[in-house]
Amino acid sequence: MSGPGLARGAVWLLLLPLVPALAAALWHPRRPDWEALRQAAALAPTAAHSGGLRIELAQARSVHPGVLWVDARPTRDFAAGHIPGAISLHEGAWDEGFLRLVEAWDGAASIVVYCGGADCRASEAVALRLRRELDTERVYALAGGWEAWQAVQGAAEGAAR
Amino acid sequence: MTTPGLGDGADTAARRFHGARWAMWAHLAVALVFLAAGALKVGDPGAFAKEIANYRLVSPFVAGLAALYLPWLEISLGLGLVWPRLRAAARLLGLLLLGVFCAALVSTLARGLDIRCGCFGGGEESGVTAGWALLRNLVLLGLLAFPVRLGRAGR
Repeated sequence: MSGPGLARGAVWLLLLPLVPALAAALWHPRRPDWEALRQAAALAPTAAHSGGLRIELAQARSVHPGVLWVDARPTRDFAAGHIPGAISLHEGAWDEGFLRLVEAWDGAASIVVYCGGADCRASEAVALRLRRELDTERVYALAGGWEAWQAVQGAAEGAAR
Repeated sequence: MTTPGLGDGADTAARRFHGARWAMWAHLAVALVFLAAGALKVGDPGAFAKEIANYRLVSPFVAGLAALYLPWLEISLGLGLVWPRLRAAARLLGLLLLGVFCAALVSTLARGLDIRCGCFGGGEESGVTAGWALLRNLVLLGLLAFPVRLGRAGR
């Protein structure tokens, strides 16, 4: 295909989808909910929002009257191993996980969210969203995540031998 | 290497023929993937908008617009890949689109976001991670790009 022909074909391929997209924007029963999207974006973690969010493992374990652990890793990682009693809740399957959390949470315990390790950010995102949706500040993101938990468990098991 | 009994011209023609045949099958495969991906998402643009917003690369407004437009663009490219007059343009746009998807997936991996790919809509298996989706997109990129080189190699 020649240059002009290629450009003309590309323009057609780009323009044609605009017609059904516009129709969907106007009449689709499941068109995007702009307000819900705006609220979701407001929950995105930023440096300014992260103050007081992180909690160390030792601190989390001593919280009174207790902690409800939330695992923000993908479902298959949760299935492979998790903190006893933890609830799986991540942004890929929010609704199901949030329902489990609400059923398990007594309203008094602090909630500590963890993800894979020190570098992941999923725990912060989930913790911020939970603070907003549960209207409480007692939701934290575990520093070091699952790796920190495993390191402490490994050390405790080693000392017990 | 020349095919026994054939001259250089016939050999070149044979290689071009095989290259074109490979390209046709590869483009057909990518076209089917584009058509399936688009068709599965047009039914629920609202859910797809949330998937795009989870990437945190664009504003909610842009995520909503993209959710309305991208599925139809994928269908358009899928049809373009099987229509000879539009195949070259569809291949070019397909390469660009897959490149953008790959960049978005690399970005989620770099930022440690545990989100669903969203490549095939909300009904997608939740176990499909960004890493696997990236691998799948790279295979599709290869299917679109490699046969072109194969065809040209015979020219």
